[in-house]
Amino acid sequence: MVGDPGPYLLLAAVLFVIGAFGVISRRGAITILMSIELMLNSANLALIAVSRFLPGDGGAGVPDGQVIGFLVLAIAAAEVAVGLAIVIAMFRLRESVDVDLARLLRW
Amino acid sequence: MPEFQHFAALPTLVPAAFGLVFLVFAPFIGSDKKWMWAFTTAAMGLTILIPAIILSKIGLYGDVLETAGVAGQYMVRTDRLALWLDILFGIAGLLALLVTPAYLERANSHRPEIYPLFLIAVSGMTAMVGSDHLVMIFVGLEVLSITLYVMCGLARERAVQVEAALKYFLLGAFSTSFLVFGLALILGATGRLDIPGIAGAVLGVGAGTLWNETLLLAGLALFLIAFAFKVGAVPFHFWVPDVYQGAPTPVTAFMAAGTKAAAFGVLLRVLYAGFSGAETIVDRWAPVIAGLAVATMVVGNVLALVQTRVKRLLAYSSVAHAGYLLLALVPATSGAHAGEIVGGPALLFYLFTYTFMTVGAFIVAALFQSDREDADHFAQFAGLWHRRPLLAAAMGVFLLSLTGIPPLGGFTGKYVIFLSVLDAGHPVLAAIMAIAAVIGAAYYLRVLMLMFIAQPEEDLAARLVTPGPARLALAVAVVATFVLGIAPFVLYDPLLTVMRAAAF
Repeated sequence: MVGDPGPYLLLAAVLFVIGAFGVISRRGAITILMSIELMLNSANLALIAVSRFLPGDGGAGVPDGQVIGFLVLAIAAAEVAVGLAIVIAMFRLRESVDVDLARLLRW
Repeated sequence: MPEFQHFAALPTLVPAAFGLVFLVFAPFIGSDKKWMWAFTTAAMGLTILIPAIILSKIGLYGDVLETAGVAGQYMVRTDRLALWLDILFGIAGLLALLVTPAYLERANSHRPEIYPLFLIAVSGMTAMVGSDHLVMIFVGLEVLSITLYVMCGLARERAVQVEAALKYFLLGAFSTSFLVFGLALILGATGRLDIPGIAGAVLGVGAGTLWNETLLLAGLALFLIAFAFKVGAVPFHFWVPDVYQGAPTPVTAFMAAGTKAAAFGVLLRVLYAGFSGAETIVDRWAPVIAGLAVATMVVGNVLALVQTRVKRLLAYSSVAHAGYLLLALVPATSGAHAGEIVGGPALLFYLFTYTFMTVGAFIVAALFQSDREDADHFAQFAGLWHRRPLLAAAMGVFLLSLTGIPPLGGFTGKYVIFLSVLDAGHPVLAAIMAIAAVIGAAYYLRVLMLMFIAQPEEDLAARLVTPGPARLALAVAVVATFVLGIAPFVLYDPLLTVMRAAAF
């Protein structure tokens, strides 16, 4: 390691935990989606940080993490497109995006 | 660097290309036309044929084909492990496709888009297992997952399906973020995301710093959590019954067999080739896998006891089977490259038997689909033997095989896992597996008794139709279940070489 990515990883971990808490505690499907986006972006921050501080290329880091960051952005966009479509279908049926109302499937 | 070999990526490219082309045409054809189904089924047959042909020739290429190098790193790795699993995905897709028109007819939801989506999901699976780069595995997993979210909720007007899609999507995306964060930490610890690079870093862990090792283990833990979600291991299983019950039944069948095989293929390759080099590292994660396996086997089987719906029962049975497969991972991956002998082939053999018996059982459940909400309730199956003896016999074969009764495939599959776990020196784990299988027998036998002894309450069976393709799928699944039970060597012996080129 060239330098210490520790503070960045710590920030990323804090954001990740906040996002995970949001997913678990919120009831609105949109808010849960936003929390998942926060988690994915915290992972992106960690990717870019470790990529910058890895030895290699004369101290400029290795580009892998940054390239992967772009891949994650694109895939997350595709995921959200499908997710919002599902949420809209849910809203048309229920007039609400509250996930607690989704209780047809229970044992 | 060996020369660029495009045909190493054919098992992924063929279903992806056909799937995308068909998907473009799907909106322009009438929903009652059968040719979209016919073309997709033919393309699915081709996606079984191509890996089979490459597999027969792979010895000529030193057991492995690699291509698509990015910055000196390979991203596609087509070896025996990948090719056998590619064939398995094709079989699962084909069996599910054969029953889909009958299901859509009865569910009264005509959506021709569902057919090409099967092909795209298969291309995601083949990308996952045919790679030795964690980023490619991530991309393949997302192609598969996003396609499955759509397939689950395709019938937008049916609340049950939309609800299943929503739950699957939210938990799937949640687990994806664990995977990405895990990748970041593994990259930080090793500087590499290709499996040979990770394996090199793991080998040198004694010489490395402790800071690196902590990061590596944290990354691996997040990676395992993400895949535990995908295979439905306890305690990450709670989405499985809801999604399996809510999704269209052919999609459930495909999901239960295909997703599980893809995820276990990745776990086998990553753990065996990437993380099994150093004893100190193996000692950290092998007990975690064993613990997940025990929890999954026991909880899955116990919760299945109280179910009253066939699809939900099969969902919990699928959780339990994820436990048996996780248990097979222990000897397959943690024996410091001894997996070549016992574990890997046992895991793959069970994946094949599991595919035939569980897809078969879900196909029978799919034939029960009607407009009624309780179409898969136990009461509907009462006295099936008196009305539809052949259908009842087929379901009986699948359930007995899932229980693990000789001479059916489910028995030989469980037996080879049991032996490999014993061989690796884990008698306690093997004993727990046997006990869990005995608990499991209770709920399968309950359905069997209902089908064969009880009298039908209403004349439901008169409304059941089994069209030709569905009969063919059931016949294939029944024959395969018998063949794998009576003559397991036809599949098991070829599988013995599967781990040969999986390590580096």
